[in-house]
Amino acid sequence: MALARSVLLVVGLALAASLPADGPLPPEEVDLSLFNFARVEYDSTGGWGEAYYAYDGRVWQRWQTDFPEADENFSFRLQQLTAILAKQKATSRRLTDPDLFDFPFIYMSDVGWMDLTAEEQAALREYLARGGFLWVDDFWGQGEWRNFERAMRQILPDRRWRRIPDSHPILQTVFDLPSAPQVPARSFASPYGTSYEPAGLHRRPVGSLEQVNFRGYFDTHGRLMVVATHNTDIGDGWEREAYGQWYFETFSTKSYAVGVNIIVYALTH
Amino acid sequence: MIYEFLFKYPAETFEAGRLVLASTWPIGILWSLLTVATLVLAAVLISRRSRMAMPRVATVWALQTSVIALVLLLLWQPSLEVERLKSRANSVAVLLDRSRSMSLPERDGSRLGVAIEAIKRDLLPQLEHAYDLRLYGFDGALESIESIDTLSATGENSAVTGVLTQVLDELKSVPLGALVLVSDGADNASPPESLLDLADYGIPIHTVGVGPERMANDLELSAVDLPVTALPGSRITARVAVRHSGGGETVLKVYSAEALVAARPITLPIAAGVHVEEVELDVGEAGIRDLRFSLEPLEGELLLGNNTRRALVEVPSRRYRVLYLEGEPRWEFKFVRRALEGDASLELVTWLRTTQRKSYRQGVRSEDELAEGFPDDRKALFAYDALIMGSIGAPNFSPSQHALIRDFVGDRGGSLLLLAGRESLGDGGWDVTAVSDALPAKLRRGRDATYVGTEANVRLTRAGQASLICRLDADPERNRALWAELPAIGDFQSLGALKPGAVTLVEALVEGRAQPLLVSQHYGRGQAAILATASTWRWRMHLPADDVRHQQFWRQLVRSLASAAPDPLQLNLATQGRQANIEVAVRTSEHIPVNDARVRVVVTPQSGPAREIEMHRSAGDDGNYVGYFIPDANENYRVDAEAEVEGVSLGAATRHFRYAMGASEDFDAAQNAGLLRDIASRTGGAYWTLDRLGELPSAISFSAAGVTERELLSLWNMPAVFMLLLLLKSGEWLLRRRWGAV
Repeated sequence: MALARSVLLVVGLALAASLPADGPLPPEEVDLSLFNFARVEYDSTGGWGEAYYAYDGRVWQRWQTDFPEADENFSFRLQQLTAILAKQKATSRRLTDPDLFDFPFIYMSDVGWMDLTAEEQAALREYLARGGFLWVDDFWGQGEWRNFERAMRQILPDRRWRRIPDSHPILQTVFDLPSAPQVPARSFASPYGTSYEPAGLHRRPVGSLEQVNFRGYFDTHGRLMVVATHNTDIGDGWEREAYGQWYFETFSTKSYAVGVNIIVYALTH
Repeated sequence: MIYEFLFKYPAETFEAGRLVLASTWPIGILWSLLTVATLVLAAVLISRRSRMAMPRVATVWALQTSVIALVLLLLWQPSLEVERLKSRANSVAVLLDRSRSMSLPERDGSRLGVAIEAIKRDLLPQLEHAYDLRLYGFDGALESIESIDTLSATGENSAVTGVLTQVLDELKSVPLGALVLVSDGADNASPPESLLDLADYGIPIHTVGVGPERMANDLELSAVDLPVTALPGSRITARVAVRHSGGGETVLKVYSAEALVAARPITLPIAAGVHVEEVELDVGEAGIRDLRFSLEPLEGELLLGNNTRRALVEVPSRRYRVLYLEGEPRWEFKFVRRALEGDASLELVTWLRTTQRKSYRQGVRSEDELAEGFPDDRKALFAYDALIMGSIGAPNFSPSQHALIRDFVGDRGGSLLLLAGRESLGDGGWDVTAVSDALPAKLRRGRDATYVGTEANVRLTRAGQASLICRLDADPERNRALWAELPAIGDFQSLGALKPGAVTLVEALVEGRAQPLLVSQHYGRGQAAILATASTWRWRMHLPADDVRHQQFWRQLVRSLASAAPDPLQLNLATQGRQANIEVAVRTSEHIPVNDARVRVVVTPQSGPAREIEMHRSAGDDGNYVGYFIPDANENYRVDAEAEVEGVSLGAATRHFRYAMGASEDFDAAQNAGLLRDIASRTGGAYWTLDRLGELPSAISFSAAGVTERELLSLWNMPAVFMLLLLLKSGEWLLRRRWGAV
């Protein structure tokens, strides 16, 4: 059995080496007169299927899920739907990058296997203490939630996550939303199926994936500083808006609405 | 004495008198005789001159003619005609200052003691002999006395010119020859116009100065200037003036309820004069701050009562309403809100345009507030004290709203702050609106945008260094360093030419050139400012979480703007001598003056019953009402004012002040010789010192006031006349002998 696993690993790595891969975009000058949607780069634990996976003809690190198309589509729509002037090109940074603080809003995706160094934890702690805002999206099941929560306990030891109620102002800043929507990845969405993803793709133990968990960490003034959209893939709703009219109407619109609301909340609180 | 020996009479007699010829012979005979004598003498000398040259003959002729002329003049009885007060027919009033400043020590006793001794020795005996003498003691009030021995220097203030007017009025029906005022000249209680009226009475006032004209080895805290009110938690600057007689070191200490709150060492310049220092104070929470300012005395300093002053600062618990309009969600909006949140003095209301048709309101008091967008009437907008406008262009407002914003500043007295942005200032079309009248710069607009994304460091200007808005640290060097170390801003908007009244507090170094970043000016009753960046949020995100500079700057800036806006009802107090003057300015909620309000003012002393003060309209000042009261004691007073029209309240205000009657006697302790000389010169009297007091009775006798008699003083027997005759004759003999004519 162990031999079989080793063989599979070697074959998998060989295949991965032959597939195209994306990485972070080359750094460019930041225009501080614009809103910059910044995605966080991070490392993940595990191997194939954990820290890395192949999909759609490329290899993805976990932080890259839906990047850069989701980010750029959202930036375009954000400018289209609001009075915000947003930079259209995707941007990414590591938590330890010196200019992280030029991005008071940062976005993380697919954090189920996220593994932050002590330095990165300290950087994120200081970032949040100064007024920065973090949105964590697209992670499913108990195992991935626990991994994220474990990291947050290191970063904010005196804080615990709380459920964001449906009446919270973040759901009414621009659009009046009844609740945080559940958006499945495009490949799992079907008019005849469910709105949640299959359990097999996610970290064990998975538990139930049916319920969206809209959770957050609050500061001492009662302001949200970290928002977690768990059991939903808002980012895919942006990335895959052009991949079919049904998906666009059913999920992309909701993804944009909640995204706009969260951004405007971050800019007003 | 030599003068009087030669000329028989003192110099003031000749000054007061007029030269006349007492003989009844016609003056024409004198001229005729003189002419004939002159001609005859000339003829005789010329005929007998023999070998003497003509110039010498002329010299002899001149000397002999002078002798003849002098003799002839003496025959016509030259005299000095003087008017003197008729003995026993006039009164003379002597006023002696008994205020507390007269208790100050002199070499041989107190000022009052030394003055009494000199008066009794050199003045009273002669005056009593010739006049009906009236004696008075005075401080803030005048009192007729029997004897000056009963006087003690305990008066709480001095009304020099005021009591002179009073005694002149009292003695109008009496033939008054002169007044004698003995004082150190400290006048802290007279009405200011009383000096001008003294000359109209026609009575000469002789002033006798007591005390040194300059105090040696003395410090005086001559003035403390600080705001009457301040916001809770804010910092104020007190300017103190120290009068000194030379170099030295001292320490200024400030106490609040006996707790030391500030101390500042002061090095005094060598040259005597007034030295000004500034000290900063934290006012703390809401309440009344009773501050005591005190200078450490110099070694050997005797007069200590003038080293201390007290002042009240009111720290009201009111909140100022600030409206912040923003045209696009951006980081500056978030971090400005965060900086101002939690400031107990500020109530921040924000209106943010989130989409083309949607807005997001925060901090509103009700669902209706700003529901229709920006107010379009004075009452709604003027309810705010300050208005901040971000990146929102002029086309989003009507022309009447543009004018309303301008009137918010000019008429209401509100404060306006414009922030940079792609739809701000010139790029937002504000240059062609009524708002531009109020702004401190002539906004630029051209083909290229004035708002750009660029990094720039900032620095304080000289005005910024002195401004409390930019005070991040009390130490000037440390403050400058804190500003220099701030992270660079990330955007900038150029303004155009600054207007003459504009003051720049902070500059941005854009591509190596200093550009105005924070600039303001007064406009009408209010002020308008521009902050030419929208990225001060970097001062938050790029500094450690416990760094407070971003918050401190924004709170100080907005507090300064908001607290400068006047309330519809304003209450002002000012003490003048013993009187406390009250002024109430009444305006509607649209800040229009009200001239038919019923104004009620109640004064409540710290220990005593409250009383209502009568107020009446101030002529010529729309909406202003004035009144006054005389405080009874040295203590704190609370003044409450309210106004109404037809039962509708127009507002209320409360002020506290401290009355310190008598404290003024400790100050300006040097003799005010200038005032005493002024009084004397205006009234035809003279200024004297105590050592010349013996000459005063003679001078008084020549007064033109009262009942006078004319006197002719003969001059023919002046020793000077005989000496002149002898001189002329002996001089002629000596010359003739020398020239061989004898």
